[in-house]
Amino acid sequence: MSTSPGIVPPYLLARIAAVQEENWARAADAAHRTLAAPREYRPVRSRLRLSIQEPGTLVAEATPAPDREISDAKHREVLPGTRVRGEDDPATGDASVDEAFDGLGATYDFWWDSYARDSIDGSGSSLLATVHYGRDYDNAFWNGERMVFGDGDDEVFRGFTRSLSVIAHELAHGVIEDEGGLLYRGQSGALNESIADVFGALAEQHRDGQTADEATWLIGEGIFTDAVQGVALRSLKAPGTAYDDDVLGKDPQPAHMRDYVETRDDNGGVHINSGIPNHAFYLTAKALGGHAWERAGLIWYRTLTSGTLPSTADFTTFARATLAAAAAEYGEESEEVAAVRAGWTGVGVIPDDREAES
Amino acid sequence: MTEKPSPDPTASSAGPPAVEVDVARTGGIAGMTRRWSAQPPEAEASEWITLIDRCPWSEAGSAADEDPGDEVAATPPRPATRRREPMPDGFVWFIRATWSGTGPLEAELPDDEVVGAWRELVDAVRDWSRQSADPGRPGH
Repeated sequence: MSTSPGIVPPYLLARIAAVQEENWARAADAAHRTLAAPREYRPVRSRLRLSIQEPGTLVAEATPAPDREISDAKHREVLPGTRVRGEDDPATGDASVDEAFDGLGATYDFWWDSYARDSIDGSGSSLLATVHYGRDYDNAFWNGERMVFGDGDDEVFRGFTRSLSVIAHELAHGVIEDEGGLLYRGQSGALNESIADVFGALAEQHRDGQTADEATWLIGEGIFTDAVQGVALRSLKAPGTAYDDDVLGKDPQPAHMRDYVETRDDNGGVHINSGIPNHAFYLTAKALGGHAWERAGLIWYRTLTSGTLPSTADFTTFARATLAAAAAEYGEESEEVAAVRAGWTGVGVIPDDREAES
Repeated sequence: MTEKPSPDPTASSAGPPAVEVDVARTGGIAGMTRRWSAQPPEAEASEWITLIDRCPWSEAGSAADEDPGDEVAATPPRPATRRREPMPDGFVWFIRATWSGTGPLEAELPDDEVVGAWRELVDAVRDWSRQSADPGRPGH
């Protein structure tokens, strides 16, 4: 019905584009480019973001916006369920629906602000989620096209949508798949899991404006009931320490190759051995300091999106690919390359000897 | 034969289990493996064997086919396997049934295939396991 592709009306963009003041140059340019962009019948969402970049300089940018849709499975195990909230709808009052909606928004902002990635496929694909899946369902997963969240059983888990790192973890599985995927078994599966954890943690740090030092580096903080002795599902900072419970046992994640777990469960321990690459990322981010999504995260993102990462990559292949990505981005002799190398040697994936790895 | 036997003293007398069904739910975003087991006595055996017989064991990927040694990432999935690519964070179920005189039946199933007869069997094992659980132990 609307002839405008976005929420910023063309007349407003035209006014901004016409402004002659020097301080508004960037905004005018952005508005001009937005107006010049070809209009499609497919509605592409965008939004106007205003910010003060330098004292006295107002920057207006038209940026893409998320297109979220939340459905309710009403405690059945049937997808997608009933659509209950779209992008333009107000909060529903159902905590799971609204947490999923807000979490997808924060995750979208993370990908766009950090890496200029417009949604899962980079082209503004819709963000689909289903909540209230099954009865006492103790899981959240990515089914290839949508995020699916159970409510938990109230004995171990009290719902999954309350944790942004969980929501962002699921969405990251979609990004990984879109970039060619990593076979969900053994080491490539553990890399798939680890990358989902890395971007899950980074989305949370980005929302909270935390540096590597300030962050908790936990995945799924707050989803356990009070009866469970544990703080979260996993810790990138200290794999193996997230929980230690009478019934659930102890967090089984290793932080080093010497403790790699061989198992038939969990597709060959994809959620267990992910502790190793998780910790390599943490060590890299900690060494570089500041906002982890800016340098360490960018290196991992470039590695994932290089187009050359095989879907069967093992830890060593991935580690070498992160080194190559860091060198391409920052230079061979950069502190970033040194930090990445130290990260992987710290977990025993790359030998602690520069000569040995060329 | 398939009638549920009425409770009688001989049924509850402890003997070696006639049937044993073990269920493991692995994976999920938490990566936690939960296990349940049912070891019903002789008197309940026929009821359990009926539940077991209704499950399409021959159509399920067998856990025994999986050699944990060939998880090398460079090995592509063998074309002979019927298995789909696993869903990220999806549960993977292992179900094993044994009874006197019969070798174990084994199945490995993705979560969305645990429906129908499989679901009935899994629910029966979880109920049995819950009822016989140590009351001091919370949860499952």
